Amino acid sequence: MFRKVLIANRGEIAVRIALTLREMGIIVAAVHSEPDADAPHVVAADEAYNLGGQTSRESYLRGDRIIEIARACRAEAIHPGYGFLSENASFAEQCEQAGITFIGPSPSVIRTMGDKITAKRAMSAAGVPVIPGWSSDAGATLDDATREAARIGFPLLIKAAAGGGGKGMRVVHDANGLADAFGAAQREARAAFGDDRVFLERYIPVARHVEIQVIGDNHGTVLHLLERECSIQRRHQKLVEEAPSPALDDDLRARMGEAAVRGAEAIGYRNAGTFEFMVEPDGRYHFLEVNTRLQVEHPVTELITGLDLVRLQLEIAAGLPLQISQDDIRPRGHAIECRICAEDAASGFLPSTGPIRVLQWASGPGIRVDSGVREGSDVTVHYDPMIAKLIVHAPDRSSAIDRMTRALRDTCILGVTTNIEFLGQVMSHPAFRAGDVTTRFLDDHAINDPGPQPGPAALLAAALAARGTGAVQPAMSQSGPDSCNSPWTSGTWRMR
Amino acid sequence: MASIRLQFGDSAAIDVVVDARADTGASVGTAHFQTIGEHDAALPGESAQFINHAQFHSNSGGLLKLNGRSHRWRAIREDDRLDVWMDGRIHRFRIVPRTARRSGQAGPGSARAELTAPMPGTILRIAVREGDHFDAGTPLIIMESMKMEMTITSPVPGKVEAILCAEGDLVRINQILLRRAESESQ
Repeated sequence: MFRKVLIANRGEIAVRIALTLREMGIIVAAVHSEPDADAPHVVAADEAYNLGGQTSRESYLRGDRIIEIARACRAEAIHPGYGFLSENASFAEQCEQAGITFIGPSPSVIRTMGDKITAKRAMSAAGVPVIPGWSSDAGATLDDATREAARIGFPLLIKAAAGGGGKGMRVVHDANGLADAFGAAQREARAAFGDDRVFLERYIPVARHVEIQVIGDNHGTVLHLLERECSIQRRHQKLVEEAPSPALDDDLRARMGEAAVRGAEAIGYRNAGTFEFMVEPDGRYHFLEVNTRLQVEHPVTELITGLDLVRLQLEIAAGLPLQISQDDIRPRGHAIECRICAEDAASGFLPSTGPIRVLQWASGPGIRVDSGVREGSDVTVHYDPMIAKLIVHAPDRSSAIDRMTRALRDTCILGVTTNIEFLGQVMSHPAFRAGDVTTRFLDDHAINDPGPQPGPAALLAAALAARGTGAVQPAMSQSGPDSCNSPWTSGTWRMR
Repeated sequence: MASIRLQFGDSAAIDVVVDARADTGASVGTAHFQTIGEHDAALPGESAQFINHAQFHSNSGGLLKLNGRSHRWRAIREDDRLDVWMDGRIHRFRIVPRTARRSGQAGPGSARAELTAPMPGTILRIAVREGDHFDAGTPLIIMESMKMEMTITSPVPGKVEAILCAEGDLVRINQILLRRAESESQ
């Protein structure tokens, strides 16, 4: 096993990886940007190295600096977490060349799966169901796109071939809309990735997003660790994830799991990865993409399988064979994750920034908090608005929802606006409780209840806070603690 | 005894009159709510007993027991803005200063001032008559509320211009009780 591992990330995932490293007796090396000098992920590490810079580009995306630091501090491996350099095949290659183990799949697998077109081609060849579509060559014309769109049928989805996530996706409803969307997608793809190839595919308006966690070792064993339902999304980005999916029966679960394993085996997948699928109401499923890294939502899989995915990643990267078989993987209970984001759900999920002045997490049975912030942290524009994850585990889905509802109610973040109350409204929505969710959930259901006006208790609490000298009041108001209304003085009270 | 005027959303203001004393690790007292202007909040008309167990920094949070229910809360303040988290919800308030009433009325040199009821209650005794001159600290009106008696005095000398209440009257919070004119002779 490795003696020292460098974590090339920040925030909650860097903290979470550090916890497993410490459990395994591995020395934890962190890297950080200037504003992150005393961030929780730095505090969680044994050693910390300054990358310099403010933005991601100046810091956490500086692969050359990170490899240099890893060599200098003699870390044998780099865990990239998610985001940043985690799906950067060149970085994985440079690690190998520097004699450092990149904890993830091979650079060639990252490269193949990082391109939607080659990924789909590879999966189609392996017999994994894919959505009908077309990928343009570089410099393709509108005529090409029009011809292919007619074959695929409307509505269709258009997006950049390179890159990941939900950025730059467009839905085109008819031939008239194609010209604008095609041109815009090409321009965006060129600007973002320096590659104007775009991807057209049949748009499936009503579907669930279900993904299969896979894990493969260097000895030819590939297993799947069941599914995660990730349908609750905003702007094509996940907000709530759960496992198992309320939509899968044992038969569909087995078929999708087998498809993912088949796909992973076909490309020689090693380490942890996720096969994303769309599942239609009739149970048809289509391959979307492979995320060649640890996922944000991996904790729900950990809770229902009892496995530590980061530990498995490290053991595989160190060359150890998997000690478990597919039959050992049985779901136990139900897990839900809510992504706590510094954003204002009432104003279109716009990110919000500012200091976290009060931070109080829920606790109790079956509650896990993966947090990258603490009281006093500043949420800045430089990094992702997701500041923490609240994860619960309970015997069944209904009690998991109850537990999450309670956990959200017990969690207090003041100073920066977060989506905690919004997530609570998702939990209490009848459609969510019924398991009736699709990726259109937040479009179909207006969830923006301002709630009842403050009652006597909230008013009284406000009065008590306003009245007091207030240990957490940095700026004393001009009116001061004495807001007593009368210009006249009151005499002494006495009990009658 | 303190009266805090709070505003939230587009709604009218609410005065919260708090009379509290410190107990071991808690503050104990009574609260009364008075709506200023149109408002649809369901607020108790009666004074309510409360206990706030200070679980956190003093006055910035705790466990509040009111009307037989427990509420966990935290608060932060930035100038006149006050964010109160209670039981999973965040309420944003503005603390409305009473400077409008105070300025030009209370200070020496102002020609006129109004004495308002600092709490809802009953007028027990009126100790002055219209036209009377009084010194600072002279008892003017004695009120009773929540089984307690309170003597209202003036911080400055003056003259009673008008008495707008009578003994035995039940008065609302902020109701004008007496109008005074600055005493020119003194």
